Amino acid sequence: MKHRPNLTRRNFATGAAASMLGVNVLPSLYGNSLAAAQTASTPTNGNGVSGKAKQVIYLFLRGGMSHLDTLDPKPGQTDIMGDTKVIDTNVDGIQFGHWLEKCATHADKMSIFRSVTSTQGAHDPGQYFVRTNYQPNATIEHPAMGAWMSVALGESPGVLPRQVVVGGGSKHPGAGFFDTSHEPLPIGDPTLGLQNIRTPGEISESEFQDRIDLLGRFNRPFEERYTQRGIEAYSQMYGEAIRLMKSEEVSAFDLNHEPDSLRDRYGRNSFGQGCLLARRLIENGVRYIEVGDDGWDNHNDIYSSDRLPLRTSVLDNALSTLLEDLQQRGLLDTTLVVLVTEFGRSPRLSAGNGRSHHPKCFSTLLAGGGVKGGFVYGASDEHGNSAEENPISIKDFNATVHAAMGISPELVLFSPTKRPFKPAGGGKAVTEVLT
Amino acid sequence: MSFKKQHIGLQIVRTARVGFEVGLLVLFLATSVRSEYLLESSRTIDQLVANGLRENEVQVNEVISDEVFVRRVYLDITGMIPGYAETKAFLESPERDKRTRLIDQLLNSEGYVHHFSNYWGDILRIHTKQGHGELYRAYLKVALRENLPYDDLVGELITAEGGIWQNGAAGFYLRDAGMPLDHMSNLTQVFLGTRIGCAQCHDHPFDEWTQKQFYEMTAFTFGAKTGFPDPGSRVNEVMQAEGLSKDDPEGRAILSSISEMVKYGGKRAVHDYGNSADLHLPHDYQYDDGQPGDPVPPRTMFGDDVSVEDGKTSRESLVDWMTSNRNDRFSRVVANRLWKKVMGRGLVEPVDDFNEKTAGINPPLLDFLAEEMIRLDYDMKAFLRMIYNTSIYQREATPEEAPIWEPYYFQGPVVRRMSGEQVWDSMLKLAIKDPLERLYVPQYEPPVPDYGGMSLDEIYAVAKADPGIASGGRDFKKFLSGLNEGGKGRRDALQKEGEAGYGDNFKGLYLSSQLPMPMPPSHFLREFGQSDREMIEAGNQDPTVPQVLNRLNGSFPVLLSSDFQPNKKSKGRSVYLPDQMAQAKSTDDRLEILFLSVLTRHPDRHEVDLFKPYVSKGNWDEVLWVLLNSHEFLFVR
Repeated sequence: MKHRPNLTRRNFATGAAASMLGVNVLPSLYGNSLAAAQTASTPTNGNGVSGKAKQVIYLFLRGGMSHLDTLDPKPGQTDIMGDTKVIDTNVDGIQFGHWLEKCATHADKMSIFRSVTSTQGAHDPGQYFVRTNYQPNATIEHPAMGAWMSVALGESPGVLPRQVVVGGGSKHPGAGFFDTSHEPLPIGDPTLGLQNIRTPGEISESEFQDRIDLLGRFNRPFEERYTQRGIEAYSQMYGEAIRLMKSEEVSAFDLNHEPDSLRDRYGRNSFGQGCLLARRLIENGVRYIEVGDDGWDNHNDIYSSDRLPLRTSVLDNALSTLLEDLQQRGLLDTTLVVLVTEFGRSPRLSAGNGRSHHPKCFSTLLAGGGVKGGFVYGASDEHGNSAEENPISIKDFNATVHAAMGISPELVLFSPTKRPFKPAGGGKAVTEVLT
Repeated sequence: MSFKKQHIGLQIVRTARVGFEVGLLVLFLATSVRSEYLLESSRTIDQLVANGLRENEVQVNEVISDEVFVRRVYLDITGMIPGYAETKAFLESPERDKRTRLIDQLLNSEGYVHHFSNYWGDILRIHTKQGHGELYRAYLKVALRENLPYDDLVGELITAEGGIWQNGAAGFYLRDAGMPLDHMSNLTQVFLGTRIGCAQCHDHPFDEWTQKQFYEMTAFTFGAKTGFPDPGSRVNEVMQAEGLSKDDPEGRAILSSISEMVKYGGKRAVHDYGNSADLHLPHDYQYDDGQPGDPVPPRTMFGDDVSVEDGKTSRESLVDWMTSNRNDRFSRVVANRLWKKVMGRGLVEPVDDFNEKTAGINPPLLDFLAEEMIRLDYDMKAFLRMIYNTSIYQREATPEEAPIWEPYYFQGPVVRRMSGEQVWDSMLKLAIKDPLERLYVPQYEPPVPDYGGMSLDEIYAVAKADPGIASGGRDFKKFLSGLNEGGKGRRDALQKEGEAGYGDNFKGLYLSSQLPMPMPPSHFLREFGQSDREMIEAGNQDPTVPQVLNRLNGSFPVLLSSDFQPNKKSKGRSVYLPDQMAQAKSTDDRLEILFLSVLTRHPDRHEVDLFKPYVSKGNWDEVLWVLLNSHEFLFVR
């Protein structure tokens, strides 16, 4: 056939990484060596790379969290504050919306960003932007944050996958243009964990192995005829799935091992249980876990009990318990907890008593591994309308996440069309918050 | 050549109920003329594709065998693999034009309604757990079954008024209720292939759209609302005028009934406040072409200007402009969408990001398809029929990958992984001879009284005539609570009906278009990529480990081999595949039935040898397991 690229994704990524890092990283990208991971994580220049964090829990609130009702309340401005009251946290001078009462006792562990901006005011491209740092484009699939870490840092310790996405919805960019070995493992319902992990009933181990061998032989002519990444990916996923079936660590996906009392504290809902699952996965060496929540898009009746009050209560229980739990287990120093959303919500309440999309200024936070506690970066104006002091883009925020993980935001890798891309889309890390 | 007249002619014959024979004759003539015309157009498409291939020095793929064709066309039109008997009948048919006949048969089957309701459901983000969703889906199925022309369908969706139980098309607005800006953003993305969502907050940075244009477009649909503006004060006003007060029992009863009706009915209905509703620029509007708070009159974003005519709502004017033959964006977008549905890839990608310069990979072909769409009067089945009958559709899928960053000139369709729905529904097809037979057409009775389209004053009158009407378990309240639960009561009834005679083995095994959409995130359908219905066309074919675990260890292989050993034979209806195999006279025949059922082809010599040791020992479950786990099962070639 004509019109075939002479670069497959595999040799592209190898070539690109090799040329960037000055080493042949084949083993770390596709094999077991950790050597290249260390190479990649060594700071190559003065981009404020700290690298104290080893693992990330990326909490993504989809729909657009109102900054005013949560992390950036405006005391005294009753017209824009709606039903939300302002409360003190355990750090002098930092105040939250009263919905986050429990989180307010952990402000000393957080760096709060109050001047974040996004260029995307619609959900679909907005979420894509948060996950990839690029705008959607017809001719490229950008990799998500976790895939960049997978490429840059290589294998994670243990047999579990490098990345897991819990409740991530239908449109996760995953590995993007990277090799499919950098795809995250998706979990739909954390309370059910990883389903179908055991062979049904009467199949013995040897019989199972025999089936796998037979399947391999049967598939071969098809694989030889149809040389496509999507098909290769399935062959690879069979390997991964079988590895997981045989591993003991796979029980990390089973929340039934957790005491009821702790499960209650996290909250008996998808996001709360997802955070608990994330902690179990952190303990078992998974590097990057995204936990998603939905339902923040409150255009109308935002204070109706099934909207902001419910979402914030879910968040308050889950995040506060997660921070306590990680700290108690001594994991908080090396685990970076990220809270992000695609945009904020407008300060002015609408006629329907809701808030519309507001990418011009909103809030996010980092806690734990490698970042300062009790710290506020940037400020919005008196109405929370625009970023007044130290405005940063979503890219800068994500660059800070990469830097905390020891990945230089200036790293460049090339797409199959040989276009250069950076892990945070060219964003600059906010070095002030790194320890 | 135009078919507009014939189309209308058929309508008249149908609606005027002229003598049956005359009707049949007209139908026959119209169909056969149209048939020839369509096949001629199929050849034109082949020619245009061939031109594109020649210019770019790409070789066309080989013509496919009947085996490959029958599997592909069943999956493409009905969303399921063909059943054993269907495959057998097609392969053995001596008819020369059997492919054309099969395409017709499938497009006219309930399978088309099933599969394309999933397809459009993903584009329209139909969410059956939302109060309006079940009825919205039911409406879509009727529209597909009756082959409502696409422009009429879009018109009905955009201008829908009334209660969802009166007019399922209201679901289109209700899906975005309370979000007028997002509604317009979704509307233009889906029907005009134009993304103006970014201009919601600021001028579009890379495209031509300004925030003002976005507001001007939104002004067309801004008159549509759910519920009533400030119902409380209006009702108080009327009550005062009539000397009623909420302090007397009668007044209290009236008020409580009104509030129930407004609460449930208002939010499940679309009211058009027409052109009096005015939209204003946002308070922080920052551009020179307007001041914050300025009223925004409706204005089209491109093409002809329209003025909102007397006697028409602005939504109707919008539809007139959109679907006018002078607006070729409308026909090009849907022509390209359906081309992609058939061939696996659009001439323009993504299918919903057009601009003025968009010509696609083969401009004459896109022009031709869009013109045909208009000539066919937006008859979607006829349009699909034309593409399925091309020679290019009936060629090998391109074995090499066609990455999105490279142009693809259509030497054949592209290889596709089955959608989540196709995988699930194909499993059902192996288990049940005709899963469509279990399809259930919901009958929705309107609530009593039927106040969906009532004004607030009319609701008041109803409540005044019968103050207790909305309290105390009247019919309509029951009906509404059913709606609120996503039609749960109806589903339970359906389940009972559907499971009669099937036994426990078949519990929950309904076609994807019959189940709630979306299913919970842990369900098979979602594991294999069914859309969560949050974003437009969010279904995906990404490979994941949970899918593989499901194939390795999930319950379908177990169910499908449950009848291989007579002592394990399940109660109730038998499982279709093993049932067929049990009728075979020899081991070779059995293997053939298994292959034809699962992969729609005969085993080759090597495969017969490969499986010999297993089948000779009677280990059919092992062979079946391998076929179900094979790449060939999952990928449509």
